[in-house]
Amino acid sequence: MEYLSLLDMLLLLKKDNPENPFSKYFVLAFVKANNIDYKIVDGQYLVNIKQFMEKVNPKHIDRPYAPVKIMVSHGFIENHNITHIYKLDQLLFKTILNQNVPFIKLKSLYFFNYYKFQEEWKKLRNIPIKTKNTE
Amino acid sequence: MYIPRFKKLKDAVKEIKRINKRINSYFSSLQMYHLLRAGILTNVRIKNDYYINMDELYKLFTEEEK
Repeated sequence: MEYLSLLDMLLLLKKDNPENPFSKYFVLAFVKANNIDYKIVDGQYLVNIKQFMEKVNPKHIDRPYAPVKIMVSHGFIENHNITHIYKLDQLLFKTILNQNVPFIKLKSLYFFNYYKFQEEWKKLRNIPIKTKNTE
Repeated sequence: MYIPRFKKLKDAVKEIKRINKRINSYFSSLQMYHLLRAGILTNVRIKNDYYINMDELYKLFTEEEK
């Protein structure tokens, strides 16, 4: 089981999610680009599955996760027309993110879970967020 | 052994925009690229094709992770 042929590898990669955009070419190119152990037997490539999976899925994701609404801080300000009160709400915005809402900070941008953010916003401000589309 | 969902970079951004529907999330290919470069997402790459692990992306934003 430690070494698999390219075709077996491809079947394995598409086992749980048939829409994965992989091909035999991808597997071979990825193996060569990342110095993964492989050997050629009778003209057939055999790839070390353990090393391959360590490169493709290093964080060991073991189950599917439900899709999440991801919002960027710039988008939030633009969509909710809060530019004029942004300085007042800036602290609140950061407090909410730090407390309960899963987020990632990258330079000046915040990426956060919009569902959770809406819930927390309603609790603290007691008003729903108005969007441009609903106004 | 579970194999996560993968999508090409542009398709991944399209899916996120589809989930957000009418609200513009301002999530672009460039920002996804920055997440990859910063090491927040696993960089699975062949030449100029980037493959995004969607389960890993959603896991970052689920409550249990915080």
